[in-house]
Amino acid sequence: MIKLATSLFSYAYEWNSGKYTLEDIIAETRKRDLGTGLEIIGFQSLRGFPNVSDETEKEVKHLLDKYEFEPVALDANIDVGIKRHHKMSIDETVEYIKPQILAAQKLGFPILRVQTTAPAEVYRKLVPFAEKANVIMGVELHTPYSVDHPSVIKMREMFEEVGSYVLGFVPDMGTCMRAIPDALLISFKATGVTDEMIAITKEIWYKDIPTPQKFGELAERVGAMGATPPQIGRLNMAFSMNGRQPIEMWSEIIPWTVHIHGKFYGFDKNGDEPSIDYAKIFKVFHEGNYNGYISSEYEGSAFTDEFNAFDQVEKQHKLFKKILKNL
Amino acid sequence: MGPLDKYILKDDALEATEKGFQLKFQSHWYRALPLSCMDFSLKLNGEEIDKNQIKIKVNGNEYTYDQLPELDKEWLFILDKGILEIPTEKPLEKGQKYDIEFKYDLYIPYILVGPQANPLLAASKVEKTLVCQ
Repeated sequence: MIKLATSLFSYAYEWNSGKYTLEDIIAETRKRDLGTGLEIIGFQSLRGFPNVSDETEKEVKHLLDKYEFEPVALDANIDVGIKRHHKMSIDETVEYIKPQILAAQKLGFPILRVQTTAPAEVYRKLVPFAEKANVIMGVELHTPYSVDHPSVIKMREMFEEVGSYVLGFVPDMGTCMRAIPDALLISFKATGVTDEMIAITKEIWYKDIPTPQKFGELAERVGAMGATPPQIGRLNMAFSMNGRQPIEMWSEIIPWTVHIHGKFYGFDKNGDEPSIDYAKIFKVFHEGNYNGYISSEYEGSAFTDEFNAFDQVEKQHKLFKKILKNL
Repeated sequence: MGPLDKYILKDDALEATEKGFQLKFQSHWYRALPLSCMDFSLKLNGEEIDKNQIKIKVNGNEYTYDQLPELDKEWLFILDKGILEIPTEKPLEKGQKYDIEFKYDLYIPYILVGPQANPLLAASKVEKTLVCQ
């Protein structure tokens, strides 16, 4: 069964304004009936994270209880570049993740979302610790980490070998998009990018070549048209945020899937997400017997302030409910 | 560079101090980052401020510009403000308008890009005329 949740990531624009308390945004999410599950990003919502004080624990548990949300996933960040000039070693990364596992345990979240910035070896080493804490480490598969990416293949091999319930994947639906969102392309124009440059970006996006090669071709072709480095940097977002993995490929890892990120950019007038084929996504996960949540993850704060994020998440839940009814 | 930039400097960000001025700033990412992931440069009325003169205050602690890359345990929560404190020959005047150009770079420690797998640079620049408080 596929259940609906909301990630507080969606409200970054509203949250950063400082006008909302944690209770305000959770209350509004309940009022609009945006799922039975809630996902929280530790470093976004909780001051002092990954240290969770008894007071914070009490507050989070009280809010989940009061607004009747099931804690679905707490999002960790695997900040291997935190020292800027020196990357964390395997053991340093292991130690960096431990307090975040304990935070999930303390707050009562069964899953800790982790990231591919740490290799398989890090998660293998953390298995005994996570088992003791009874927290599942869900490795997010965010573009360009599709199921056939070399690092992901190594991760899958390690999962098979270790075979622990604390190892899993959190596929992000930005990995399997059908188009670059128009709203994202339009936002590029604010930096002076022309329609012609946008057309070239689209053309390159549809090519079956590795992402690094796309960056190279784009820089060369729009550079020749006079695009500045900041403009090229902006256009690069089209490749770094929007993946083209075929949706069917998720079926290979559904047995390891512990949670799903329902990334989205916007809607057409029929309420459909033109850049992500959710009807097909639900079909693939349903047929693969996925049993768990999908969290709304609105990406708007990265490129537009035109819409209210609560309205946008509500539209996505309307679409999801319609799809679920017809499954 | 994006919608969250609008929160970097609020209208009351610039304040006169006894020996110069201070600027209150908020991050433009969606989550807390430590000072080691940040870099700044600042112009007042078109003149670049010497970075060696800048004191950075976060969570009640005070640092010099040179210390920034090592401060991976000093977190700036996403709703909190950091302060840049700068001495000037003549203190700024309250009620006067000043042109501020604030470049605020973030090195995103969990998004590694390029052949060297370096942290992604999220650069922002705010140009604002502020009334000194």
